[in-house]
Amino acid sequence: MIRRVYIEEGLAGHARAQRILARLPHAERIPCRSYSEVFNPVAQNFRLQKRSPALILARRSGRFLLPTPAGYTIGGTQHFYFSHLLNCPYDCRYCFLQGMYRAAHYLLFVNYEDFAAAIVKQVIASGKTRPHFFSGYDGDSLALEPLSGFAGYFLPLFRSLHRRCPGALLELRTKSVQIRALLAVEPADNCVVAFSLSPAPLQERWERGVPTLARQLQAMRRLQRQGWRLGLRFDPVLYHPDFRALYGELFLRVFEALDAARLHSVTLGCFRLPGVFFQRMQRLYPEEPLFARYLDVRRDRVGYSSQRRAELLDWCRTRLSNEIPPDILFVQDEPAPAKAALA
Amino acid sequence: MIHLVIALRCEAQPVIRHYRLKRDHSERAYEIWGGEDVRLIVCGTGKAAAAAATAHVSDRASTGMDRAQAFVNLGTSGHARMPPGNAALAHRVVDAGSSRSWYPQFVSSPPCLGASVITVDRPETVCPEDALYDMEAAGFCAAAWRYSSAELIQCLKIVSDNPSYPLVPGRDRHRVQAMIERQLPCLERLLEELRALCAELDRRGHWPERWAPLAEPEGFSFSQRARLRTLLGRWRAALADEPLPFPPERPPPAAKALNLLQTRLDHHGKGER
Repeated sequence: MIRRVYIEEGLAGHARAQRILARLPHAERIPCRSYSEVFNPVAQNFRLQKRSPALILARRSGRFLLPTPAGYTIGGTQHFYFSHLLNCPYDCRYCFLQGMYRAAHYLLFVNYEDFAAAIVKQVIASGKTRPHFFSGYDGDSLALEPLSGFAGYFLPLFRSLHRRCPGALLELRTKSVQIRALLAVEPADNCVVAFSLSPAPLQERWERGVPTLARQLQAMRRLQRQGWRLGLRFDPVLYHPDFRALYGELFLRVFEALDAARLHSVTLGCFRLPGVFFQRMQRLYPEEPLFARYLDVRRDRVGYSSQRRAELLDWCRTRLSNEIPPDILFVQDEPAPAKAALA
Repeated sequence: MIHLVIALRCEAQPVIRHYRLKRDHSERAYEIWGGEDVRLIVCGTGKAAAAAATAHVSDRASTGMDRAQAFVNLGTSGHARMPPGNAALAHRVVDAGSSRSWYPQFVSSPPCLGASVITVDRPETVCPEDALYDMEAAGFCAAAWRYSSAELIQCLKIVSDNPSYPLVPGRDRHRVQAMIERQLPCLERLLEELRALCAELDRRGHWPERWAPLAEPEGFSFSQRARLRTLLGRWRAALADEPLPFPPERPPPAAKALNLLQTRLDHHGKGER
């Protein structure tokens, strides 16, 4: 439940901001000059704010599209991410956002038109190549859909871009089951709905608030039946002494529920972080075994040792190759950039 | 530990009575009262006084490096329309002089309405904006922000006057006391919430009782103590109840102790026993 909404003073007459506010009639409304007064100044505690995050409605300026880190690909020729939303309603202990931001509030940039203009410009510049646009990099693409109307705005945009650049693609990345807006429209050929999945016992242990695997699979099945192109994101793969049994069971359930032949892409990546994010996360949760075991902690990068990474990835790759063609499997094992998207 | 920063003795009196606080006579610069987990400082009027007192009470609290501290500025304020006696929790504090703002974060259901607070240098009688007017909150926030985080810093303001119901300085002490008295349940709910948040933060740094001798081990430099704390934190998270590689009451020399912990943790990290 969102109890507080901070609104930049410049958004007083903004139609989308007003629509969002109308959906939160009981939330306390607090004006601010700029989102940066509330989001991410010093002396904020991510862990405490996760108890009851507020919503911040703001206008983004500066760069609307950013290049993804090296290796972050699902088969395109150019890769960009854009973040209309920073943070997400789920509380996953391994999530790098805990280390990237001091604030756990949802920061929603309501000037979708400016993001759209940047995407159109990039698509034109990309010509006949395959530019891919990732929307769920700094938050969940769909979890706040009833409030944000994000997919409702961007799907028609990408549909209209399809004729101009058939290779342009939008990835909606989510853990949620907020698929009503997608089921209400025709599937878009140039959109991939990508679900981040974890084995049920690990989900229960480390993904607070995330819908169960059973519900996620149910939502995915409904989308696939309607014709939506789905992506599977096994990232981060977490090491566990029983990882073979845990991930074996996960893959079994996934490929029982879905038609593997109609999947768009599958990605794999081990738990890894820039060192500076890891240090902040460890300070927030010093009691957390996830941050104290099995990790190779270096100043610039924290992750499993190369031997352990190879063990995890090779095993997963072998299992997945029994189900899917190798050309749709992508291994993404570079850490996210330490520089915050807001910088 | 919760620090209450209150401008006037008449505003503090109901709180002192309610929590049965005892005067700390060793304090000369300020009137300070203490209880089990509450310290109250009477800071005087104005933002400079509030800032200085907030810093003073925090420095003197001796809560230890890793203990959470919460701060509450309780006091009266003016408002254009709100009836006297109403309480509000500041969701935004603006220093009228510098236009700087602070946003105290409340992370559960608030005990009363929220409002903006504008801190002015002289008593405001007109109250032109839809906000509470006081003389301390901005100074309090400027100082408290240095010692704690926004979720643990709150300003609870009780409307004492408005343009149609002015306060007569020096003559309305009893009226102010009665207003504060009536809002003590609201203060109590606020403090309960802050206690819970402090407890959550303190729990994360909690060590088993048997490690107590390692809190300030002899022969360890400042940086070695910091390193020891980090390694013990990892030990607690990764190895839970496994005994340390040395008796906590008789640790080996600093370098050896740190090396023993680090080696064991590294082996464990690689999956070795």
